[in-house]
Amino acid sequence: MFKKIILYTVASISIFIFLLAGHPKFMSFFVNHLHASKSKYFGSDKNNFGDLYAISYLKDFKFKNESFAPDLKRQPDTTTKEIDLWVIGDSFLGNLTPAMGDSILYKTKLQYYYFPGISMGIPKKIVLNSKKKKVLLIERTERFLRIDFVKNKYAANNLKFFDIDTNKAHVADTNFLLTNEIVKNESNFLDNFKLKFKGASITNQNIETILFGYRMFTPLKEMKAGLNYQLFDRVNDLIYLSTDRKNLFFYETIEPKGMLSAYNPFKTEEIDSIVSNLNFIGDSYKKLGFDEVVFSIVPNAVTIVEPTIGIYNDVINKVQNDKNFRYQSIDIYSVFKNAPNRKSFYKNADTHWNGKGFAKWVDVLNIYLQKIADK
Amino acid sequence: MLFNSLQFLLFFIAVTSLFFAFPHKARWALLLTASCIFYMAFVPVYILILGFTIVIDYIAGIQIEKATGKKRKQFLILSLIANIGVLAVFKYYNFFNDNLTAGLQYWGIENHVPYLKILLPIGLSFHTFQAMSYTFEVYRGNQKVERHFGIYALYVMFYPQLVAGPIERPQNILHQFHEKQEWNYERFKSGILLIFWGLFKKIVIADRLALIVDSVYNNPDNYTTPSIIIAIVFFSIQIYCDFSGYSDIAIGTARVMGFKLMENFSTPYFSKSIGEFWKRWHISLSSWFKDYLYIPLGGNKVSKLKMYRNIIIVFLVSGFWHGASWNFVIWGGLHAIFQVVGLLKKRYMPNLPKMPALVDISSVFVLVSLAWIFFRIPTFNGAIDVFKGLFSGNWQPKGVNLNEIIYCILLIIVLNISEFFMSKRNNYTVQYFYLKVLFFIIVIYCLGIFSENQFIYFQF
Repeated sequence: MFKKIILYTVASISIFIFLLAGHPKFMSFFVNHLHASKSKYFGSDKNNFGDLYAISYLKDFKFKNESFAPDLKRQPDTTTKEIDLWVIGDSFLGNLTPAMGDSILYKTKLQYYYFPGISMGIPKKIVLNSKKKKVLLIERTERFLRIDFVKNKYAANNLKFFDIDTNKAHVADTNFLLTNEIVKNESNFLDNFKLKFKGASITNQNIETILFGYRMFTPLKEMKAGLNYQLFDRVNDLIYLSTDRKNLFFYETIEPKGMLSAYNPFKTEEIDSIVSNLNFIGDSYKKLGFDEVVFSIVPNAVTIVEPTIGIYNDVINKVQNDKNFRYQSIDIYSVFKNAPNRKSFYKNADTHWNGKGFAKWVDVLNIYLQKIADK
Repeated sequence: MLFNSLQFLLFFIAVTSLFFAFPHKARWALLLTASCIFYMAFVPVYILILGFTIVIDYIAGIQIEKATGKKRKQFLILSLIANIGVLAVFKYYNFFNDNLTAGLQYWGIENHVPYLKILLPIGLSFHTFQAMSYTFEVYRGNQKVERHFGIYALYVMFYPQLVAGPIERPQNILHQFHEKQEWNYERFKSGILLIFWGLFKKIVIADRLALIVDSVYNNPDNYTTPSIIIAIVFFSIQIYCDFSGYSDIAIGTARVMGFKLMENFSTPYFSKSIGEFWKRWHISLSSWFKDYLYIPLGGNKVSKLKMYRNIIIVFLVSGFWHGASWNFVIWGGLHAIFQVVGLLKKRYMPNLPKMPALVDISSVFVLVSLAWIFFRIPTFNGAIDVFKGLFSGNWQPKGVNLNEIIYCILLIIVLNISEFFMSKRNNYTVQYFYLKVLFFIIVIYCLGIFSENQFIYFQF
């Protein structure tokens, strides 16, 4: 009997962990808790250091994530807020909070920053104020352009988030993204298969997080990474080391045939697809009541820091300057590219920009907002 | 679900614990459910294909036993058509269509036959062959028909060997599902150590060698002769560690629960002839071909010429079994040539002086390694590029890390010494067992490559 109790207990624990690892809500709760924990042994360092450090565990790249605040010192904007800004973006704008928006954006009230799939607590319905200039900014990182807007099934899934309250706002059709034919190409079977494998791989990573994602294991992980790096010149296969060995890049942004790669050329029809999707999204939101829709494509780190690793596909320029593209861009790419110190805008061990890069983007955004406000 | 994943670790712990907690009568249902979950972790809908062949072969088995005369053969043929039909559609349809397109193109005709947008169901060739061996054996009267549908389904789907073998025979495994497996600590220890050994071979050796092999084979033009030689040799070891590692984990997993699966490898690179190599490499497949193709063709009980023909047929089919590509057929053809030439040499030059064993072993290793090039590279031109690089005559070492090569050579030495001693030792004291488990955990963690690499043989 005792033996059976032990066997059932062991099986139950295993099944329980297995099920938890496959449960997105639990994992989100667990990971948030883990990251917030200050425990010496059971917390996690993942959010304290660069995201690529957290993959590579190379001690030489263990840089603390610094606050953006020193780079964002601006004169407090006391003018009337003439613009309501709504932002749909990704992790590059993770630091953009409504409170911060008030102090750094020109005559603008930041209403919401929404990160599809991540943000919590977004109201299901939003209300557009007809007395304000209503601007929607859609930001996406360069590396996702191919996935989101060429394989455009994902665009529909990722961008159906602002459900506008038709009773209060002066707009009609709210379900355009559900009813409209944004999905032109069926994603093929291979992609689905890869996604399924990714799903299994995510569950596996989740189990690893539940079992070994704690601070107490970090020295072991660093030791193993150091051994491979020092002895065999190898780093985690998701990572690419810059030529000067000062930066880590996300390997998929380098891999010549990769979906996320800066060196995988875009065909003309792929650029057309991106442009037509962006136009469609812009048109749709304008129909819903936004006065302006503006796009911002944030370059991959490698595009700015070391574009000469391969032949750059120049996708940002091609999209922003396409003759059929009807919307304005917050063109941070040109600004970074032409800056004398272009390497200084991105963190060394992270896929994201640093405070300086973000501040530069805010400046470019403010130029745009100023134009809108003063129109 | 990959054996080298944490998912599998939890799955294995849960299933094994429940297996011994459940009463004997319910165990088949537990194992069948677990096997379905294991298989469905890849592409769930493909379980329908398995279901289809299971139902057909189950019914065919019963009908074969019931029927007499010609009808028996008809039911066997029905079962074979179903199994081979599934293989033909899912594995070979697009290959044949490709060849049809190329052939018609030659005559300036466009091929309008549509392509199937499907991926090969994982392990299809393995479980199809296992299912076929059941109907063959029932037909031959060597195996009593299995009337318990659940247990028959488990025979085809038993999760440790479902996706990459060993390809079992009904005589060996079916009766074990009916027997009550008692907990046995000795068996548990030896099973667990075999699992760890398999993981070591896969994660520490095969996946480390793969780092070098992949970079050379993916761009042979960028490498010189020494690097290509290293890649060729390392791939031979990689595929051995990868596949035999999988078999070890499968056998160990089954052993912990009390099931005995057949051995699949027996230090094949120590073979002194190609014939011997095939008696020690992927034993469950080569014996399958011997029992169900070579012997029915007449085996060696026919004229010498016909025997050579039989050998060639078996190896070509074996190559084709591995994959729907001409490169696999070439690979099989090369082994057929090696084997036939070896037999001819024996027959016509019996007085040649006997070579030292080391020379024979090295020769076999070199031939097998060269043939693996066609196995590893998906296209014929790609394989030719490797050969060009091999004979480029550029001996400047380039593009590989010397430390890593030395380390890999050390791993290969450890592999050979360990396999030699492993076969000598069967009893483990408790302390030795726990010490060894701890050693494996540390070594596999510290030296292993964890990049979710699939086992090479999954694709077949």
